[in-house]
Amino acid sequence: MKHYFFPILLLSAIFIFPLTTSAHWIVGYVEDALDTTSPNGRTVRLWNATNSQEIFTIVGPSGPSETSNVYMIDCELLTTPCQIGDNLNLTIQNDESGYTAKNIVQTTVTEAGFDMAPNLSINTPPTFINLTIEDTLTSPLNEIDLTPATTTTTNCFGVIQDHDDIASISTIQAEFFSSSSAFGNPDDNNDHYTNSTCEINTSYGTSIQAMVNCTFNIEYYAESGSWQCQINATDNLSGSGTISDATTINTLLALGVGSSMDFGKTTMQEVSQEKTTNVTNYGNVQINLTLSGYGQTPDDGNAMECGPTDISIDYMKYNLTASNSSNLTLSQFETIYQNLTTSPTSHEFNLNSRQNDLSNEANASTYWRIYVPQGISENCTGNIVFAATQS
Amino acid sequence: MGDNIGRYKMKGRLPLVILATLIILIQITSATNVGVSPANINFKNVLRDGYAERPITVTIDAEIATQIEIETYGNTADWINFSSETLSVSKGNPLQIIISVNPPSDIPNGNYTGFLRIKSSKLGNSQEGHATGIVIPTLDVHIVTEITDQEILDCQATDFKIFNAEQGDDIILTLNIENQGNIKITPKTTLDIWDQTSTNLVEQKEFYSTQITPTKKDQFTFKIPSSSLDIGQYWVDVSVPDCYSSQTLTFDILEEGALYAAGTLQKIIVEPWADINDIILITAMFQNTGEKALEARFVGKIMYQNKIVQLLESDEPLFVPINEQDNFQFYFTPKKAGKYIISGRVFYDGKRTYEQSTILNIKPGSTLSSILKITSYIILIVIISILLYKIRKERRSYFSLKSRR
Repeated sequence: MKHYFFPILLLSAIFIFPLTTSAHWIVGYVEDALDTTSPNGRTVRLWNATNSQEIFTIVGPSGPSETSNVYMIDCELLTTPCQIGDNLNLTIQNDESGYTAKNIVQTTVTEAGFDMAPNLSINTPPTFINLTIEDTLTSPLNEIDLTPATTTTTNCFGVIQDHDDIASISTIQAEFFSSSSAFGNPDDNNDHYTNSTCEINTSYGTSIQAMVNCTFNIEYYAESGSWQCQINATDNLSGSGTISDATTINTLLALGVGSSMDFGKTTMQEVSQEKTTNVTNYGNVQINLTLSGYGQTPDDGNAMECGPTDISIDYMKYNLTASNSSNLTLSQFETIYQNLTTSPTSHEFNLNSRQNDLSNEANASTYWRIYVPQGISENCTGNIVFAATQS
Repeated sequence: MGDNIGRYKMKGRLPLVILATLIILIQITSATNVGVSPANINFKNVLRDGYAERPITVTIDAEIATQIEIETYGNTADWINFSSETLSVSKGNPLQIIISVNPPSDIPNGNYTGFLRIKSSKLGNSQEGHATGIVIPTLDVHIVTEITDQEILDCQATDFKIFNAEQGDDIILTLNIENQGNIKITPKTTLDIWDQTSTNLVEQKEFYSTQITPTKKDQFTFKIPSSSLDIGQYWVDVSVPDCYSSQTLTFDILEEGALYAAGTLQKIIVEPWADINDIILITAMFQNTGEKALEARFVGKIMYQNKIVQLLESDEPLFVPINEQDNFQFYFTPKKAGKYIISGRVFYDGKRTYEQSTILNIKPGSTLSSILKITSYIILIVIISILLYKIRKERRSYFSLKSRR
């Protein structure tokens, strides 16, 4: 018996050893991306669809293959080791690089010691070459001047390229936002605009290039200061590229005032009824008012020209804060209202720019009356200068 | 009878409604909003007797061209200059005005303020028998000028570009220089041209730009003779020492005929309608679409009733770098009403573009407002006549009915 012990042990070891170290390698090749980016270091995922079990390996010299662009993975390492006839799926695992998997391949486990899987490839994400932000005036560069009471067209345009197929770009989203906002914030005419329908001109440049033009209609009350345009492009394999550039929106000073003030039929030695004139801020800065007046020519000292005798500038008065609709005597009139002057006089009006997208709250009323002294004829006309300055 | 009166009333109201609509429309179009960007200007570190400038943009929300007036007031009113006192602006055609300051030579250091006043047209009209205040909306741009006695030399050179050239042709170098200081500068640009391996210095050049006044930015184009350079690739170190700016660029000297010269006369632009004796600007837009810089010349004519009334020919050739677009500008004053045909083509590098043309219509002596006025008067007269006729007709039928009863 002693004589048989060691031979039996040896034979057992010979038979058991292959079972304990058995491996079935799946070997495959991963092609470079079309922009020559190597797949080395990327992770390959192998999974069995019937039981959803999966394992991973690394492509290239840092992986088991130790060979550039080649991966090796032992399917025996699945929780349920692979069997002959199993269909296994393989693909490149997506990562932060944007070079997503172009395909999923399938291989069947055979009796051989290893199986060769079909080639895998990685998708080149779209990349932007440049980006420019401009309005209709190109000088000075990188400045946008708004238009009062309306929108100003601003374009973010640049060249994009996709080595796989320029037509594979499926979505382009552009956002234009101020330094007080950020990418992804909700739209607000004061600080954030989105365009998801940018134009793509594939006839521009080479066969892998296109011109992307994203138009924004910027409201007159958009914040002044630094703004950024960011464009994200995604292709149909979820590869994405992004670009951003900064510009400046200039301050806009603009004023809307009611038309003429009709004080009605002139009654001598009486104070007229109060007339209200609305002032609207059609810019993007807070404004103050500078007021002055004249009869026919500037500095003539009159409020109105009436023929032989004119109304002096001292008889035209205003109140920028409070209305008083009751009948007034001359002395009450002089107490409640302030004199219009021949030379420009500045007042703190502090009318803020519009903040509400739905209704224009950037307006305020001014209240005016005139006293008609004796000896004035019926027709009187004067000029009232409403000047806006940044407060 | 009642139906007839109703119909009569409706018929009588229609012209009045049209007239009222016309009047309202005229009033709406006159209520325009003018804006200016930026809202204020700060000129910093300006020397006594020095200079600083900045563009401002005047915008408007109306499609119709509107006249604006510009004036200055405040302590620095006499120092502030601007391109023109009366200007026209419309939506989509913003107006850019260069505002500059020239402080006097005897002013102490400190901050000085002034205002640029932008006046738009008066709003509203006076009413017969009423006291009416006509509102004049204006914008006051606050201009602060800081006077200093410290001279500052500061500039920035950007956008260095060099273009390939055929052997024998000049190599074109372009760059922008902005004077960010407060003294006039004439910066030197130096070029070190190296061979393909960047080991052998082939040539050295120096260029001086024209004088740049403070706050101005100019583009400069330098021509480098290539006669001493063989075919091949070269590297060039471009430096503007005064501005501490430099860049390394590369260019190729190519065989003769290797670069394709091409250009397009894109269009000839002119306001389609104008009045007799207006000074009309004619702009021909030319784009260099080839691979080499071009010297281009426009040759054209203005035809009226199949006769040439003016030739359009550029005095000096226009230098147009690769991919750039530039304009030829001409002025024309029509003396007669009618249709003028403006046509021409651009000649460059022994080639010519396709001919382009446009039409200019000259109105017979009256302005739009006077036409509107006359139309309004005619409509008013017609309405009054209709009303008088209807009243007389109604009165006659009323009296005839009464006499029958």
